[in-house]
Amino acid sequence: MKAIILGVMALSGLGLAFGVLLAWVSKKFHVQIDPRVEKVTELLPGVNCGACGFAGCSALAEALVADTAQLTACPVSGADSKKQIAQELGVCAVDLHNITPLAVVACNGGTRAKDKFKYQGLADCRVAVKTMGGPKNCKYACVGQGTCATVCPANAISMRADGIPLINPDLCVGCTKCVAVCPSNIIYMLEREKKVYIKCRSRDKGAQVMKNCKCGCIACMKCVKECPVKCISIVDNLAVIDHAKCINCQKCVAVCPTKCIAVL
Amino acid sequence: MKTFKGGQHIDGFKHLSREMAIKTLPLPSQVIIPLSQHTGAVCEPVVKKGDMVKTGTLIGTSDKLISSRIHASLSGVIKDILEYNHPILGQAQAVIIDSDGNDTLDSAIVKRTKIELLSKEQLLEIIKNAGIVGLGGAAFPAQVKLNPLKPVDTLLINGVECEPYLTCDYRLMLEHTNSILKGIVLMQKIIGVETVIIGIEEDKLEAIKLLRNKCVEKKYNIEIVCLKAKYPQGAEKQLIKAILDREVPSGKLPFDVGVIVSNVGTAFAVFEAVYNAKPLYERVVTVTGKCVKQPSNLKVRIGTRFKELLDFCQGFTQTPGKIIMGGPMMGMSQYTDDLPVIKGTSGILVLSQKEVQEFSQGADQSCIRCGRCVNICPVGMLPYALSLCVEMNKLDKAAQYNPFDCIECGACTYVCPAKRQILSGIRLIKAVTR
Repeated sequence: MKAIILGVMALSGLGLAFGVLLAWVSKKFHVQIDPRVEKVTELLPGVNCGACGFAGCSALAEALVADTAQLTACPVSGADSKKQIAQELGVCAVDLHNITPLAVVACNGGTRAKDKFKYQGLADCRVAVKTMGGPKNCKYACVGQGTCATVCPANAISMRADGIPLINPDLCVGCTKCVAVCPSNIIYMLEREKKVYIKCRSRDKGAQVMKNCKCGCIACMKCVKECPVKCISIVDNLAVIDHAKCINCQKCVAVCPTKCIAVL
Repeated sequence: MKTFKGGQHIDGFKHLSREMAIKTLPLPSQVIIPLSQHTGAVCEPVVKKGDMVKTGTLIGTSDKLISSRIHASLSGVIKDILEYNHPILGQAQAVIIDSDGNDTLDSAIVKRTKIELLSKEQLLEIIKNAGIVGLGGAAFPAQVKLNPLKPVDTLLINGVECEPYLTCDYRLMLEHTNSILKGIVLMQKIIGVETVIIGIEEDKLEAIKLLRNKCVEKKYNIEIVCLKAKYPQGAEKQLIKAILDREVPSGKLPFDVGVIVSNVGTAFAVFEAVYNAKPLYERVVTVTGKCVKQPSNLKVRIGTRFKELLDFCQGFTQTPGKIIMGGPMMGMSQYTDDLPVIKGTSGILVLSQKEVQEFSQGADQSCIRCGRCVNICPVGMLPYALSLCVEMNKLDKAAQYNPFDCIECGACTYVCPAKRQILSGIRLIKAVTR
């Protein structure tokens, strides 16, 4: 009986002592936590993928609250959750998807571009273009091995049956990886509101383009003449649109005889 | 018998052309001479459209250190200087010469006498002016190679010709034995070495016997070593390992271990340049393959179209599947026969459609980690790992497997049971991470 009373008393004493100690420690070493961090962490995807460059979602949330990171850093969360996070942080959310530039393919050839030879090597554009100057007659053409599709982190690029990559504008996040990897330099970034672009990069003369693919820019000047704001010029046998002046009237698209001016 | 670690004997198909004596191809009516035929800087043309040239006239030169001069291979008129098909680069600047049919030699080409009085510098100048490059395939300018930055003690002469199908070096050794030996002695003098070793594989016994007899007869201090027949023994680092048991460290060159390696064809070209003052405007090319009616070894002018060589060999027995410049392992596939022979063209190989299909059918399957590529790799790399890096699109991870040690012999791709295009992937890694 005595032993039980002793044990209860000893444990209660210890509990009391530690309780007082802990209470004192929690007062003494108190860290002010922004309540927004918790809320933002909840709004972030919570998969801790690390794609933002931080250790995980809560680390990004802390950085967001401390204003040392941009909301764009998270590639996973959608527009809705980004809007909510922006509200929580008291900043203005813009629909990013409409302001990031979009990758577009400046080649209209694909299977229509004549083959110089049948390429049988490794399915990689970078190897293909190094093989005897590329498998296409046109040295500016897409060689169609789909390396851009392999590197796209957003799975926005797929190879069409006609051998040209198709970039899904809804999925493209504007990371420019495909631009960097394309050895023919035919992918470039275009502002989303600029709807009209030239689907060709060939500096060959018109006659040569007709021999190579029949669907590239032949520098016929029709678009130049048609443009009401004179924003198209021919540089090195290739039409170039000055997007600062373009008013999206799309008259050039209608007149292009080889259909190499496209609308997004 | 001496050899190196790794590699494998590959069925050579050398019987197709090994007994065919070297024939001289009739003069072509036109030659296309690319201004880039060697490792190093591209030459600038020193002639213009409409100029008259003679055989051996200088037509292209460069003031860069690593470059090689280019000479007319016919006498006639410069028709044009334009971009033309090139067997390695695809397209390159080339000088087109229309023959006048006379083949008048340039006035500078006269037989030299008192060769023994020429100094090392004079000999190097002669070699530079003659535009001699290594004729084994890489076409490295000879005057640069023979003037090493570090002292060397051994000259290795490469008579291995391990590449399947090719027999041009073998025929050269049989038919121009004396000239080759004289050329070797000249190179020995230039480099200033005592030890000279010729490495030849066991399947070329006649060449070994002949060279040994001549060396004894002429009292040359040249050793001839018989090597086990194995691919890629002709690669210079592997040859050094096989004959001298010295290993060239990663990223270093043969002269770092005191060796210079030169091809027998180059020795012949040095002989011609020094004794006959003849620039490098012709070479021996093996035209072979099951598709060729009459496989032959031909002495042709640089710039002759492949088509003319193939026509001279009586064309094809069946529809060709692939035309390759060089051998099947390291050669380059071509898409046309309207291509000029360049200094580095050691052979023209025509494969049948069936042979091509055997290799391309079911290509690029998954790696089964059998390790055959690791066993065969002559530089001890892990080819499968590099290949997987390419497949997984993780090129940045490839650097740890030392892709730059690869000599691009293609043995890994040859043995791969899953027919993976390993070498293509390694080339890609090299190109991207450079």
